[in-house]
Amino acid sequence: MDHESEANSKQAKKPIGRRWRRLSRRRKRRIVQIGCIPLALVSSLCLWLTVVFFAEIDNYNYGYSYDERLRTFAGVAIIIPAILQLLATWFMTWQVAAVGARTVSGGDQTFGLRQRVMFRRWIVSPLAVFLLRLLMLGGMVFLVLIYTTRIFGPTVYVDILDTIERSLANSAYYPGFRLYYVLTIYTAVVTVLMLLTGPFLRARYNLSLGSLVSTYPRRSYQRPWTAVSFRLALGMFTTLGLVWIGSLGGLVYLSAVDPFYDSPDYSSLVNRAIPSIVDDVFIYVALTALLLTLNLLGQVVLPFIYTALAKKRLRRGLPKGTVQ
Amino acid sequence: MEKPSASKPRKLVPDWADSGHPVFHLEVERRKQSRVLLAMQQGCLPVILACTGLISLVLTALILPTQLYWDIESGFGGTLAALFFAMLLIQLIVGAVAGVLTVTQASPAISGEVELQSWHLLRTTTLSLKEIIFAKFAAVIQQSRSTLIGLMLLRFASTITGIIGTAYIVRSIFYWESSGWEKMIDEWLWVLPLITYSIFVFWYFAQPIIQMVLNSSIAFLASAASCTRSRSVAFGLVGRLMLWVLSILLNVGLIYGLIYILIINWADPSYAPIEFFHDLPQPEPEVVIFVLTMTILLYILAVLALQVGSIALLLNLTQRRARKL
Repeated sequence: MDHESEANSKQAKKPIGRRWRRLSRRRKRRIVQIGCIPLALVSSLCLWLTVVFFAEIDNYNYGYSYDERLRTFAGVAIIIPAILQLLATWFMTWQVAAVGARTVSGGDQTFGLRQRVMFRRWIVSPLAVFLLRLLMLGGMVFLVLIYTTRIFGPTVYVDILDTIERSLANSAYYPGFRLYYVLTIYTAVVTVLMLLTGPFLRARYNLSLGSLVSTYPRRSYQRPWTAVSFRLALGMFTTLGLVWIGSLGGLVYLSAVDPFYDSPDYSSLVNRAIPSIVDDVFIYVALTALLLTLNLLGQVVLPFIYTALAKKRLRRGLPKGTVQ
Repeated sequence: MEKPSASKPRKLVPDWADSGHPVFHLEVERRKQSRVLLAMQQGCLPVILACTGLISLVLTALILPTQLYWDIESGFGGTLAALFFAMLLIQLIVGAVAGVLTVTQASPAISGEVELQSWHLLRTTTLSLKEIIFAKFAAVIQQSRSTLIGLMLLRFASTITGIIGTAYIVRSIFYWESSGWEKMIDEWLWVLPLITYSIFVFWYFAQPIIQMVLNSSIAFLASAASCTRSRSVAFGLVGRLMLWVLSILLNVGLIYGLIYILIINWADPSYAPIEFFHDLPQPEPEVVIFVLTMTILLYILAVLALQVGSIALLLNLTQRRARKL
């Protein structure tokens, strides 16, 4: 009995490192996955507290109601979760794409089931991103409350909210200004929708993309690498593609509006063609709305197409010469 | 009755680079046994793409909105310039790492066989020496495929970024002087610069392949010249490093010399630091453009010819040395 209790106490006193080594790889992976949520929350809380207590407060009198402390709190409450969620989303993106590679090894018979199992197993990563986005949304609500109400003291000046408000106020003098209100509300709704559903839609999209891409390599060990590489290449070329298209559009616009220094100024003609009530802010809002809608639609529709294509490829069998 | 051989589809890949070739197959399979080597080979592409993707995203998010607020030209021009230089820097770092990786992977190809005493056994087969060396060479290139694809994608991205950036530069040059633009079109002065630019783009885009083949050729010569694997790796790395230093010194010296003679002295003789040019007449702008463009064109072609010639020479020397083993 004594020996048993002694053995038990020895077992209890075993260092964590040894206990960790004794765990199976699957359990280790599971612990790391589940640890995503507390890690995301604790890291954002720590960063938030650090900035709150150590940030330098600017006491300069700007001539209008200004509370730097509140602004710092609200700004930090948005910026820190925003950066963390961006990083977490990026990690989740290629991680889930690599997981998608595991869904094809059973052929088309178990493909759907494997996809569902993998999505459930890896739900922790999108959940962590979702919580970070929720924190960010909370910060945004806090900022809007500071700006619009007196609940947290005197109202605070915020550049972007002020610009939007001024644009909306200006647009009221012109016909069709309701369209701007509708557009702004639509953008706000799509943004909130994207923030909340984005992680799950993105995970589903990447899983199906990973599955489709991994039906191409001949060797099984190449599948996760190919899926990750393809997903990362897609991300890289999306960013660069947007810059390229924008730059070419800018070049065409400049060639039309302002071709040479000593040429007649066509800008007035072009500006006349575009309604003068169009505000820069609304061009940005409209572009944001368009990009967000396209992104949302793509994340909803494309997984179905990718899954159908992957199933079709698997039904025909894996590539000739495949080594499992 | 057999069909005439003319009806058979022509193979693009030579026999020694086909997976059915015994030496090629042996060399590829041998390298797959090491998990570390496998992860390193497969992991290069995602690492390159992840670094470039993240840096592109951060640079675009930081520069584009702030610069676009002032004007379109500096917004997109600044972003394109920043992206191009960031990609150049990544290519420089990744290229150096890929060079070292290629040399270390290719160096033991022949010396390993000699050290393990299987080279003579291999030579007793019906395969020719050229076939053995080229099959091993193709296997090394095939193993470095992931890095090569990553570098090619990076080159493609930076090439497109550079071309659009050049369009912005050309626009800003002719913006202040529209007569220059008309003269360029009327007198067909744009043809030679366009040809030179196209050849430069081709040279720039082909560099990852040329560099990889050149690195492998250096490593193969080192491998044939040494009897142990460690010595061949050391010789290969030293050879590559020497070539790097030599090419940097030669290129910097030549480019500086040409700029000094053609632009500082010949194009502007009245203020030329060398007295010899003071008596020469001031050349016409069209002549200056023609001479400078032709010099750049010939320089690029000479570098390309030197690189291809070096590869051919190194592989030839490898075969000659391997025959004596």
